[in-house]
Amino acid sequence: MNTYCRFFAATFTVFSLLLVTLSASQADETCQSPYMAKIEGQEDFVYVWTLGVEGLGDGQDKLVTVDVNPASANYGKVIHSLSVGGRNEAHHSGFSDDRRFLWAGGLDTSKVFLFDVHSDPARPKLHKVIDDFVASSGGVVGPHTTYALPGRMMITGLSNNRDHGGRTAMVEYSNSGDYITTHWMPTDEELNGAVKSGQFADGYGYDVRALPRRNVLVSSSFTGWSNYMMDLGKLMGDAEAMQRFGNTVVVWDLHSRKPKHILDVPGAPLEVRCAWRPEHNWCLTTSALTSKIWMIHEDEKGAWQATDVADIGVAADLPFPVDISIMADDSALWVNTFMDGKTRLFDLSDPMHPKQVYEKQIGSQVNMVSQSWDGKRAYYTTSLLANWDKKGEDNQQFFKAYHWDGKALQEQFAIDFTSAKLGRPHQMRFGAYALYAGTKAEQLQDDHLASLED
Amino acid sequence: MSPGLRHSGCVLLLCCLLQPWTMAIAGEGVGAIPLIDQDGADFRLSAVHGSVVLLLFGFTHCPHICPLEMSRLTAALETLESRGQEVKAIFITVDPQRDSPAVIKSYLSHFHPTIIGLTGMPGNLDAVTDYYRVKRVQAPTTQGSYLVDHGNSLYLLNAQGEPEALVPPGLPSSHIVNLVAALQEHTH
Amino acid sequence: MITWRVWKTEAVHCNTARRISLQTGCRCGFCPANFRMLRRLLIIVVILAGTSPGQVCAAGELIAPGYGTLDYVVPTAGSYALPPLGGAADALVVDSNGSERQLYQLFGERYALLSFMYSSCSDVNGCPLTAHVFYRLQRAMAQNPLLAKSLKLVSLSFDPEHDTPQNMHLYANNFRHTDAPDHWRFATTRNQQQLAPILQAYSQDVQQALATNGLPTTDFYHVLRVFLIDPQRRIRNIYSVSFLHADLILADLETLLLQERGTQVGRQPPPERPGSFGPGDRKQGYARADYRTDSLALQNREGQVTDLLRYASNPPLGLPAVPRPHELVLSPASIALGRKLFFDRRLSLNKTFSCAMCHVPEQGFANNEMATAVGIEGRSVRRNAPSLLNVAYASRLFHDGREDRLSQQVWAPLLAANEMGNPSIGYVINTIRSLADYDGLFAAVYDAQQPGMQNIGDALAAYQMTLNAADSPFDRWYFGGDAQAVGAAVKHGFELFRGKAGCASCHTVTKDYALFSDYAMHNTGVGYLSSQVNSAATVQVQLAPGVFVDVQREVLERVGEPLAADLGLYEITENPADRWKFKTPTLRNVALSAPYMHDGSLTSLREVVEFYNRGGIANPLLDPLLRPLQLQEQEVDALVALLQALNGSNLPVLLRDAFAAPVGDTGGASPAKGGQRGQGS
Repeated sequence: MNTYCRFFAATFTVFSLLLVTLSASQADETCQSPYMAKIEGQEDFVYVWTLGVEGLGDGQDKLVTVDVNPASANYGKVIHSLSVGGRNEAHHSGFSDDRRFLWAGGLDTSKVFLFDVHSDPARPKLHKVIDDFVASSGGVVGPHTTYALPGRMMITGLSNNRDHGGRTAMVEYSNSGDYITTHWMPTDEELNGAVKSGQFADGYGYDVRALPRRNVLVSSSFTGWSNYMMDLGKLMGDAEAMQRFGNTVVVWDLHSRKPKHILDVPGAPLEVRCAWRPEHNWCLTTSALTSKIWMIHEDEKGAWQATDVADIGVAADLPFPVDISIMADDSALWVNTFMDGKTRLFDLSDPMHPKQVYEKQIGSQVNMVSQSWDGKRAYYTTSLLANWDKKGEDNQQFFKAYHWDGKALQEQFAIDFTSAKLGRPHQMRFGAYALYAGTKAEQLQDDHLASLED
Repeated sequence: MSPGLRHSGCVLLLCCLLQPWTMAIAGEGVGAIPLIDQDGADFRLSAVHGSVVLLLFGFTHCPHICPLEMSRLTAALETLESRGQEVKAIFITVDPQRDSPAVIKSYLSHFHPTIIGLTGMPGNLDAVTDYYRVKRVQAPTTQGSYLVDHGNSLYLLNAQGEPEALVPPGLPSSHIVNLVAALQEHTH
Repeated sequence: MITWRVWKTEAVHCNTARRISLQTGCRCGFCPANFRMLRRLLIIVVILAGTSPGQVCAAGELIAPGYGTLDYVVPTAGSYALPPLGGAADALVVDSNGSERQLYQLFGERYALLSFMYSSCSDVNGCPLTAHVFYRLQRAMAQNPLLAKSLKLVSLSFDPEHDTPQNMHLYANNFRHTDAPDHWRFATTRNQQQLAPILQAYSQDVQQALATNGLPTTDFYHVLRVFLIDPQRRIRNIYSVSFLHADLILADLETLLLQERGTQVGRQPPPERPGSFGPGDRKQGYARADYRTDSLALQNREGQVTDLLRYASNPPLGLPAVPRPHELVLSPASIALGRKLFFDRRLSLNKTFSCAMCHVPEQGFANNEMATAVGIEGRSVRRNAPSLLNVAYASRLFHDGREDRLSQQVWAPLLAANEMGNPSIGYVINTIRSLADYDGLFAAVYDAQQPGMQNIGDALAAYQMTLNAADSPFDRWYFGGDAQAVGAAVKHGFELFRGKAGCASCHTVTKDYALFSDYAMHNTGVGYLSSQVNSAATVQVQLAPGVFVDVQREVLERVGEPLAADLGLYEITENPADRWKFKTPTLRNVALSAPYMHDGSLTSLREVVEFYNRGGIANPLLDPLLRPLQLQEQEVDALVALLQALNGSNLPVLLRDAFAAPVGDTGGASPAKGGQRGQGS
C-alpha cells in the first residue's frame, strides 16, 4: 500500500494541476455566483450598467463597455455604448451560469435586459428584453439581483405592483428568459415554514447569494419602490417612509427554495457576500442605515445567526455603506460608504471581528466596487439611485480604475460619465476574451497554486 | 499574467475531428503489432491473449485523469489479486514523444506492479489507438508544452483481445472487479 | 410514501481521510509540506480509486459533492415544488445497437436523466462526476423496483466521430451481466449535423473559444448540465457540479412522483385574519426598540368583485344621497370600466403608475407609507395623497380645491409630469385605444363612442363615486340609534367634537347625515410653517426600530432637491388672503389614511388633535376658528376614540373588490394591438 504515498510525493507537481481544475466550482465575486465561470487573469472589459439622465446625452439607460486591459490600445477608454430606451432605473446586473448573457434589471420599469456578451465581448448586443416581469411574477416590481443558478436565474425583487412598498419576492427565470416561479419573502402572515428567530419578518428583499456547500441561499432586505425612487433628502425627512426599510436577512434552503430562518438585521442590510474558502461557512452583509457589518453564520446546532461584528465609520454621521467586495481568499472586505465617498478596507483575519485597516476618498460620492480575482485591481462607480445621488456639485459621476498593492490604492484612470454624456454609472461586471476560450488548466497553474497555499 | 478561465465543464477539443482513423485491422492484426514495454523489450498484445485484460490509454505528463484512472486500476487489481482472479493490465501511452520506456517504468512504479506499460513506433501506436477508436490529439499549452486529449475510459478485453466493455471514469474500482468476475464467469 | 436512497457507506470525512493517509505509511518528512493539499489529493484518490463510492471529504469543494455524502440534510421529498423549466426537445439519435431512435424512445414513458458525455473528457468534475452519480442511481434502481420502473438514465455523446455506436455499446456492456442491464442507456449521433440541434435545444451548445486578441480558436467548451425530464417531456431540474448528487436527484424524483399522485405539495391557505385588509404592516410601535413586525402576505390576498353601484345609489348609513351630475352614466358597466382604468398601470408614460399606486385601497385609498407623494421616476409631489373614500361628496377637489368635478379632475394626475407623466391627452386616449382588452368597453357604455377625453373622465368618476364607506360604529350609534355601537369615550368625544373642541364647525355633521367636511378652504398654519418658517438645523431620522439620529439639515439638502413652497388656494386665486388655505378633508375612515394634513406632516390622529388643541400654527392669515382648545389629556383621548370609530363597515367589501381588479401588467404578451404600444410620443 505504501506505493500510494510514494506516488503522491513523486507526482506532487503533476497533481497540483489537478487541484487547479477541481477548484472550478469556486468563483470570484466579480462573477458573483459560484455556478459561474470566472476570470482569474487580466479582465479585458468592464461592463457598466448606466442610468440615463434626463437632458444629458440621449437621456436613456445604457450598457457602457470600458476597455481595462493595459495591453490594449484602447486602455482606459469607453469602447462601446448600447442604449436600451427609457430610464428604467438601471441598477444591478449579473451573468448567466454559462456567462454568455448579462442580465441587467431596471428597478423602475421592472424590465430585464439580456445582453449577449459572448458573441463579441467588446460589443455586447441586446439579445432580449423581458418586459412582462411584473405580470409573470404575480406582481413583483424592481428586479434587482440577477443571480445565476444552474440553467436559470434567480432575480430578487424590491417591491410589488399593489402598493409599491417593500413586500416582494424572488423570481426564477430559465436561462432562455422564460418565467419559472415566484418565491415570496416570508411575512408574519405567511412564514412559509420559516422560523422567525427575532422580532422581524417584513417580507422585504434586496440581494441574494448561495452557499452551495451548506445548501443555503441568503437574502437581504432594502425597501420598496416608493422609497428607492424617492428623492433621498425628501425621504430622510419623511418619518413614515423611514419606517419602511427592511430589517431582515432570510436563510433559505437552496434546493427546495423554502425560507428556513428569518434573522433580525436592523437598518436595511444590502449586499450579501458569502465566503469562498470551503471551511468558511458564513456570509457577510452590511446594514446601510445602521452602518454595521453583519456576520451570517451557522451555529453548532445548525441554526443560522446574524451577529453585528463591526461598525462602519460612525453611524450617527450616516456614512451609508453601500457596495462591498470580499477578497478571493476571504482575507478582507472592501466597503464603500456613499455619503463620504470613501472606500474602506476591513481585515477579516478574524471574521467575527473585522477591523478597518485602510480608507481612501474616491470622490464626493461612491457606490459600487468591483475587484479582480487576484485583488490587484479595483474599479469604482458613483451612482446609487437616480434620486439618491447627491445634488449639485457633489453629483460627481465617474468610473475610476485603481491598482491595489496591498497597502494603497493607486488611481490608473478615470472616466467622467457626465462630460462623456453617458449618465450615472452603476454596476460593473467583467468581461474577457479568455472567458470564451477553453483555456487549459495548466496555463494557470502557477498563479493559482500561489492562491491555494496558506 | 495571462488571461485565464476556470471552468466547471469539460474541455472539448474538436480539432481532433479532422484526424482520420482506420478500423481495418482485425483482432489478430492488432495483436501482432510490435510495441515496446517499459523495459524496452518487444511486446505484442497477442502475448496477453487468453487472459482477460484491462487496457488503459494515457500519458505520464497527464495532469488530471490518468493518475486517477491508474489509481482506480491499481485498486481493482489489488482486489482481484487478493481474490486470486487472474487478469492482465496494460497501460499504452498516447505520447510516445515524451514517454520513453524508462519514463513509463518510473511512472508505473507508483501503481500496481503488474501493470504493463507500452509505447512503440508512432505508426504502430497509431494503429493500436485507431483500432480501439481512441481519440488522441496534441493540445499545445501556452507554456510551449502540450497535453494529449485522449479517450480515457478503461477497456475490458476478453481472452481473444476483443473489447467487451468500456468503463468510464467515475465508476468505482469495485465495479471493475465485478465486471472482470462476470466476464470470467461468462467465459467459463 | 415512497422511500429510497442511495445506499450509504459510512461517511469518511477529512479526519478519516487523513487517517488513511497515515495508515499508508506516509511520514511527514516524506510528504509535501502542504499537508492540507496532500489531504485533498488523498481524498480524491480515495473516491476515485476506492472500492466504496461515497467516501469523500465533503467539506472540500475541490471535489464535487456528488462523489460523496452530502454535508446537509436533503429537503424532504414532497415538501417543495419543481416547476417545469420548459420542454425537453426530442431528437433523432443512434442507440448502442446502432439503430436510429428518437430520444423520447430512449426515455421510455418515464422520468429520465439526460447527460452529455464524451470519452476524452478529462475534468474530474465533468463527465466522470456524471458517470459516478449515474452509477449510484443505477445501483439504487437495481435494488428498488419502483425506482427502476420510474427512471431511465441516458448518456448522449458530444463526439459522434469517436463515440461510435460500437463504443456506446461497450459502455452499455458495463451492465450486461447484471440484473439491471437496461437502466442506463448510451446513445450517440451519426454526425455533427445530427448533434448540433440537440446541443442547441439543451443549451449545451459548445462555444467557440476566442484568443486574447479576440480571434476565434479551435477550442470549445460547455457547462456541465444534467437534465431531469418528466414523462410529459418537461425539464424539471437542471443539475450542475455543485449539486449533481444522487440523493438530491432521488428526492426530486420522489417529489415529482408524489405530486403526480395528487399528494398535496405545499401549504393550506392560512385562516383569514382581521388585518388582512390592512396595509403591508401597520408599523405600530416602530419607534421603539421592542417593535415587532405584523406583516401581511401580499400573495394571499383574494379579490371578490361586488356590486359597487349600490354604494352610489343607496349609500351606507350616515351618508346622504350621492350628488350626481345628471350627464354621468352610473351603471355596473361604467363602474367596471372606471375601475379597470383606475388600477391600470399602463396609463402612465412608463407603464408603472395607475391611480391606485398613490391611492392604495388598503391604505384608505391614500398612502400610509409616505408623507408626500412620488410620481413616475420617483418625481417629488408636494402634497399628501388624499383618501378617495367618499370623494363623491366633495364639492371641491384637490387640497387646493382647484377642481369641482371628478370627470375633469382625473386629467390632472394623468398629465402631471411628476405624477403619471403622460405627455398629452391624445397620448392617453391613444394608449387606451391601442389596448385590446379595452375593445368595445367604451362603446358599450357611451353610445358606441371610442375612448375620448370626456368618457375616460366619466368612467373614472363613476368608479370613484361608488367608493362610499360609512355605516361606521359612530353612524350605527348616532344615526342608527344603537346605543351599544360605541363606547362612552366615543360619545364623549362627539360631545367635545361639537362643543368644546369646535371640530364640527368645519367637519360638519347634520341631523340626518354626516360628511364630516364643509369642503371649504381654511388656513391652519401647516402650509405657513413649511413655506415661511426657517427649518430646524437638524432633522431626526429613524434608522431602525428604536434607533434615531439627528442629522444636519444640510446633509439632507446635499441629497435632496428643495420642494417649491406650497401656497394652497392662493395658487388658484392669486389672492394674497388665500395663502396657505387648504380644503377641509372628510373625517370618515380617517383612521386608515395616515399621515395627515395636506403635506402628511402629522403621523397620527393624536398628533392632529394635539395640533388643533394648540390652536394650529400662528400666522397672519390663521383661520379665526382655530384657537387653543384647552383640552385635557383624557379629552384628547376621547376625540381620538371618536375619529377611530368612523371606519365604514363596508370597507372590506370595497377592498376585496379592489383586490380583484386587474392592474394592467401584461408586458411582453400584452394584448396591445396595432403598432402603438405607447412607447414614447
